[in-house]
Amino acid sequence: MRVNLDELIDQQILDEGTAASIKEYYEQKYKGKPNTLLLIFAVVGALLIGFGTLLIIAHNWDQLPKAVKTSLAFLPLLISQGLVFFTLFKKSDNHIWREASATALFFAVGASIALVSQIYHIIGDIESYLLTWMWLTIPLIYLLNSRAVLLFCVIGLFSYGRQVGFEYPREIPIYYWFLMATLIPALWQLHKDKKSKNIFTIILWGFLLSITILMAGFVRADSTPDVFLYYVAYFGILYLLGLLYRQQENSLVGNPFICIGFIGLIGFYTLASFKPFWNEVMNESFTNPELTAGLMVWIILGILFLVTLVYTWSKGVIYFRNIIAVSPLLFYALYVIHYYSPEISIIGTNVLVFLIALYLLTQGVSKQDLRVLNIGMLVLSVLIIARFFDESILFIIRGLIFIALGIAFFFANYFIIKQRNNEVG
Amino acid sequence: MKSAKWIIILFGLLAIIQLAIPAKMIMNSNNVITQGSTFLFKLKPIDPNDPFRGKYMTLSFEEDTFPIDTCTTIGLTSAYVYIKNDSEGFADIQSVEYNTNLKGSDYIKADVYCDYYGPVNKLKEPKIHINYPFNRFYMNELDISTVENKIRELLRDTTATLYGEVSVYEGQARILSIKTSGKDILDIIQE
Repeated sequence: MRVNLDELIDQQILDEGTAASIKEYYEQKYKGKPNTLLLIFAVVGALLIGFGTLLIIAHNWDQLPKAVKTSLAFLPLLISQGLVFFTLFKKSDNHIWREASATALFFAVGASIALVSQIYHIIGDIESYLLTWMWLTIPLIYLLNSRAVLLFCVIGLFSYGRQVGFEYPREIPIYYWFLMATLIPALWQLHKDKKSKNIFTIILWGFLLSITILMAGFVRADSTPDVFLYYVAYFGILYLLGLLYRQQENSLVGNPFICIGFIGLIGFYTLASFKPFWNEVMNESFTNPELTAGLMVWIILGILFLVTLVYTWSKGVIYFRNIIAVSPLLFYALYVIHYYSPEISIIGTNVLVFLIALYLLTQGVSKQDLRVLNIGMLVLSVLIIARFFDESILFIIRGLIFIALGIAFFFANYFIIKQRNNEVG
Repeated sequence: MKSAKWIIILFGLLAIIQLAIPAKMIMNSNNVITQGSTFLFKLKPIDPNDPFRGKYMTLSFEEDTFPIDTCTTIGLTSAYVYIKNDSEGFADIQSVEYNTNLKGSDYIKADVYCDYYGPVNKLKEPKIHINYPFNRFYMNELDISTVENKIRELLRDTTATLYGEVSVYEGQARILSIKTSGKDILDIIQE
């Protein structure tokens, strides 16, 4: 940059004063910026040492007397705590020191607990081990402002939640939800730091995928039937948040809210467009509703969805015809209808998916956005393929539906083109 | 600078807690070992490994069921298993209690399940199966196969009795060693 500036001054394109202020601007801009490559190396280095320590410990040193082994259990912990203290006293402004020492301490805590368990043959299940580890390291995210530890904790909490929520005997992992909530301020802080956009996107994806999967843990043997439909409200909320987030983040990959929410909704509706889905639901009807955890989650998510919908609407983020945003409400209406006539619900769900596809196609065309247009085509294809394999429908009816879809598709295109021609003309 | 001072104080507290948790684990274990009574559980083994904590042998014990009149629980529940010595000096289950009204200190808190089905779903005497909380023996990964072969050999030998020495104290239990006729298996393989 500096060389170019000198050249520009020589050629009398820039005067000295402007050149100096340009130079100052860029110096200021890059001053606070950490050396990303060095940072990555430091964290990866600490990570490798951490894993190495765990493995060496796992070798199990029988030969050593118990007292020596016990003091060795504290060694990695004391060393990395020392590193963190040094960082806080001397290098608190240094990004690399903070991330590397926090990573080292993260693994040292896990290693110490494991080593003690091994020396004393303490069985302790894997979930209480992971939980203790996370409790003892989540504060590092805030004290050292460490992104690496934030990422590790998202991963660690996922394995904890999966272990408790999906392995026998299945329980609702309350601590998982509590500890995930404690990570939200850190995510928010990271979001505000514009320099860390990539790492924020990665952590956000992990965070949202984790809660999306663990959300299934609320459906349990004692659940009131149908509570899994809370997923519709959940995906609806994600989609609406995605619309809000889209105002500052235009890329789709960078917006996990909209990706997970949209794919979740379409996936759910596609499932519900099959007859067996409603038959399953019909089998256990809501004769004796008890306020189980699942039902409570459903009610809370339902209310949250309505609040988010009103909020996004008042912000003017939702376009007038956006049927995806209100589709959870329509789907719940179809759910109520199925008690009287399941056929209407099945047809209704198909129409709903079709209208979503149509909305996306019109949006894609009118905004000249090929991404949206292609997603619309994809939704339509999914619907068509689902119906093609639907064995509960007679061939003749399948044939008629296909023809109807074909005609609808033809007319939709015709009108879009006609409208666009009118606008142009 | 003021907030930096607070961060250091808070981290100091965190560091103490991080040290206290493993220290507490050690103290509890020492307590079980020094205060507890030692019982000898006859055994039979197999092997997997735990990525976090390394190699161990999974042990199963002969005394792991307790016959009762009727099953009163469904699925895995936690219970208190009272242990006494039999005439040969090996551990014997005295009773399995579900209530927390506990007497003495010679009991182990364990996950149990009750069943009354034999092979091929044939009804049989109902009994309680016990998953002891000392069914893992951590050891050096280089020695594990040698020890296992030795154990298999000893288990085939009808004259030898292989047992785990377990310290039991107020619900907690720690395995101390695996022995045969008073000799530690780890010493035997060194010979």
